[in-house]
Amino acid sequence: MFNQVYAIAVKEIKVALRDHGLLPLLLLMPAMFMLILSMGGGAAAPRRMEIAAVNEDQGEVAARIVQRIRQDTAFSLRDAANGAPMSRLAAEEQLKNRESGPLLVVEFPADFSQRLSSQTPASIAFAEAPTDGAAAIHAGEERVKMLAASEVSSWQSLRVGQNALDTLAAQAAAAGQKDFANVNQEFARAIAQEGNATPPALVFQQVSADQGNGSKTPGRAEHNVPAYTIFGIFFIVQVIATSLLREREGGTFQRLHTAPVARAVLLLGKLLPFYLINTVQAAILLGLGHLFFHVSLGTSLSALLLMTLGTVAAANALGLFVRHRQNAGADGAHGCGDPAGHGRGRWAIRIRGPDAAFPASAGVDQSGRHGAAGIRGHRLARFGSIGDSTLCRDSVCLCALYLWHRRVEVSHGLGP
Amino acid sequence: MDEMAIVVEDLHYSYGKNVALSGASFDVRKGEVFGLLGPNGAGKTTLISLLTGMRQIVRGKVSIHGMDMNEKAAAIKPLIGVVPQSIALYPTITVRDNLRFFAGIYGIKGKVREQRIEEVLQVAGLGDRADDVVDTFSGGMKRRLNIAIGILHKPQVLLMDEPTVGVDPQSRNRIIESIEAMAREGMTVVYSTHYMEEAARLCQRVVIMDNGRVLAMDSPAALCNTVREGYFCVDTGEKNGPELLQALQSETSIPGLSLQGNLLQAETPHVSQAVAQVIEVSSRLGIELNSLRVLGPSLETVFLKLTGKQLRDA
Repeated sequence: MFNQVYAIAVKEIKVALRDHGLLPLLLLMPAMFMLILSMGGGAAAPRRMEIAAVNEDQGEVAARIVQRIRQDTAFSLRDAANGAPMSRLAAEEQLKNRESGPLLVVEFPADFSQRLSSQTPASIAFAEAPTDGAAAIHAGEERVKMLAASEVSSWQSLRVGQNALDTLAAQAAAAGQKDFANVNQEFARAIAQEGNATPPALVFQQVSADQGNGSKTPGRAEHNVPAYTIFGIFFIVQVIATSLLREREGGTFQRLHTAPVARAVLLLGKLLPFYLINTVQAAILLGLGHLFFHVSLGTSLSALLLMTLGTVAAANALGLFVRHRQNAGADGAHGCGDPAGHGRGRWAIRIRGPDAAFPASAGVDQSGRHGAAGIRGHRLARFGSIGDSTLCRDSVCLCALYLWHRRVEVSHGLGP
Repeated sequence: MDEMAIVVEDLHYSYGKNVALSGASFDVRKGEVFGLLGPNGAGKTTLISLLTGMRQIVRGKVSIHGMDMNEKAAAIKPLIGVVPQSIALYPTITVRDNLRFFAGIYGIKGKVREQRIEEVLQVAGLGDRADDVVDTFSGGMKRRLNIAIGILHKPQVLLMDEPTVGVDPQSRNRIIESIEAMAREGMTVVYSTHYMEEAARLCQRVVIMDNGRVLAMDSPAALCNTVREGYFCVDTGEKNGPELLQALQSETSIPGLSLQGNLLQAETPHVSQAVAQVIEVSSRLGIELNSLRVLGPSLETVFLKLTGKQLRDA
């Protein structure tokens, strides 16, 4: 049995390698989709990052930092809720709302200014929204840290100058001095004396946020990498179907039925190489996405592996159900039922797909309508395909896409 | 019974309402080259697909080397080799890769595999093209490779379904020679064909089938002896047929004269005399004959007599 499976698998690989269109179909095409749709045209104007500030500081430093954040063009700041200053509770509630809530909450404790004044480390706490747009949030967080450090440094300089002046004035008053001829030297000496003191340290704390009940719209690449990986995986349907149809039409399948080989062995030998090819394809595409677009693969590699192997198995199994050449798209004239909805055909279904996977340039119905049945934050998109099997493939592809997003959410939830 | 390679008993098979086999019974001796003759739609391919286990036998019985096909298909399959009517190869890979694949399916490994591949390549006359992709081959070469795959595992029974269809005379001759060589080595061959001369040359016995039934079964010579009549067929050209037929019927005693379109034909025990009379009458009437075909008692005569001359579209 092993020899038979091996013989069939080797033959399949040889036949597949002779097909010069296979590699571009399975790897280059989805990779190009990822690249072009993640980096290409149709990009919306960059949006300001929603950020909430909870300022409990009794002093002035936190207020200065909040003001700097407000003035920064990268952020859209909320520091009030219901007509009152933003409280910690209100900020946490808003953070859970992934539809309209902030991506990041910055919290300043009551003793923030006091600690800085007394030369002891003062902390700023950050709470991130649990979303797959983590890379963008991290960037925002770093920017806030930079603004805070800059503002504290500035405040420190002013404070030193003020102290120096105060010292100078006190010395002058004590001496009854009215001649300020040596004031420049005295001021410089006082500054140097204050400046030698260690500047107050800032401590940044990470606060874990509760999971909400949805997902924020992720970035373009964060959609396109998994979407087109799944899209690419499902191209194997066409390859398997064509291979089986060629066997049936060429008579080799019938010939094999006259040989002492079990159908299960035949099936196993036939699918095994495609399963391996598919798995390698998925690994390459996800790896490319991770490498070039820094797309998170989640925190659970085993979940990712399970999800990938399951999707590959679904794609392979689907290939077995195609009975007619026109359904296999083997004539190359089929409307491709891809996640970007480029295809057009006699089956036209309307389903919901992710915003970022459907840029305006892709000819998508961007009505922007949302409904209970849709994936939150996803727009209505048009899928088109020819034949019941491609329709079926589209449906499975979409389900896999949906599961992928669920997986990302779950793996974030399991993270530290 | 031990001498029998194949025993077919009361075999029936239908495709829905279309009856393909209706009570076919015959046996094939070990080491025999056995011909299956019949027009299109006679049931030859269905019969072979039942003998190979490709289709399930639902009524009747097939035994190969004493084993029932329905009960011991797994034991029978290694004993049989199949050369299907279609060229069942993988066209995008090489000849050697095709042979290695089928060797793997039959469990032939290592040095034995390579040795067998070389042997069948020699039989098929493809030794110098072993590493070429099959797609680059002519129809005849593909047919020869099709046969090479069928004999790769040294089957005891070889079932060939019209293996010479659409090949040039050279390839056909090569194929027939290779079958003769296999028969000399004791292989049982069931050979389905339309070509009477091939059957007459190769087969010790033939079965003539039509409409799913066995009409006759014997050696070619014995079958020829059952038909005493010869057969002639004359192309009278347009509009001359009725006039010539009328003249022949009134002036001669040629039996069974009939006219189908331009073709005037008859079966008669005295073919030469009848043909002479046709020529004489047509000359007298000034009718120029386009062609004249005469067949003495032959397998083809037997075939036509048994299966009729109606065109078959199946």
